[in-house]
Amino acid sequence: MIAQIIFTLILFAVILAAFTQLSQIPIVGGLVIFAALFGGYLVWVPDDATYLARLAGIGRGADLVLYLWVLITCAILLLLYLNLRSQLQMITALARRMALSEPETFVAAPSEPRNRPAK
Amino acid sequence: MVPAYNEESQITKVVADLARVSPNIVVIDDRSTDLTAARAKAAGAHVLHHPLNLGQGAALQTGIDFALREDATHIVTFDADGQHRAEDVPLLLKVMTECAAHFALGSRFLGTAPNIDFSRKVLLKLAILFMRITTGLNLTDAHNGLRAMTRKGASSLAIRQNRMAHASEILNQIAKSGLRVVEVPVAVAYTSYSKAKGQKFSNSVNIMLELLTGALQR
Repeated sequence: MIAQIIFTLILFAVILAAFTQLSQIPIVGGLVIFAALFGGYLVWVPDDATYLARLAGIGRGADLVLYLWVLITCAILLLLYLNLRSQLQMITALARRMALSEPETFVAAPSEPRNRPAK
Repeated sequence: MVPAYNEESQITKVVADLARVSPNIVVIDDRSTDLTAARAKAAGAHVLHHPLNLGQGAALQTGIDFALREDATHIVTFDADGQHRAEDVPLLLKVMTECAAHFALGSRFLGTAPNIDFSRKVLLKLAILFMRITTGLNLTDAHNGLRAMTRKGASSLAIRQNRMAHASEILNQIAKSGLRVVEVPVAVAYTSYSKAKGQKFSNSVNIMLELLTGALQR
């Protein structure tokens, strides 16, 4: 019972973390939430794990849980990576604004009327 | 528009060559650690400075934003490593105008690419096939840095892939825009310098990963 509660709390935290990313990264966030909910179901109804594992052609219920855990871990890593990308996009926008605010414009000498000075 | 990163040995010649065919040259210095920016300015280019190294895709979008802000009617992107010929720029613009297109893409396989490595050729052909499948664009070249676009075409682009996946992203956005695109034969000169700076086969895996993860993001 204690282990079930601990696992449920961990999975609940995973769901909350994924939920906060759902608007930005819907596919991966949704996958994490689904996998965590499914994991919660197996934690509380472990007898179904063997039945579902056989249906999926895995064999043992313990293996199904292991696969599910690997899936959740990979999905969380992907979520973190995509989050980093979002941060990078914000940094890029900031860097671009800085670059555009201070252009070094070339002003041609009168003898070489070539480049139009930028505004 | 020339995105540049550590190109001090080439940038003066590239800008000088372009100055013969274009009244306005913009070099986007992607936080070079050498004299690229100073030499570009001395050669007669407007220079934009990224405060940190972001990648060629990010530099291109910065240049596009700048050009649109300065009321540019046409924009040409040009690599800084000296592999393109400035003479191809007027040809791109001419064909684009004559065909009433909004994008003119340089094609080394319609033009010439002497000294191209076999492995690079294979990689590019695979990229062409990939782009044909994913975008529906029937192109003969996929990752050529020499492109021309109208103001309307440039406005339809929003490059989010900072690094090398931007070439595929641009084609994807061109396809989605529904605007007319033409290909123009151009020459690409492969020197030992440009080969060293160019794409490696291993980078294609990174590009695929970037495209995939980019597609997962809203």
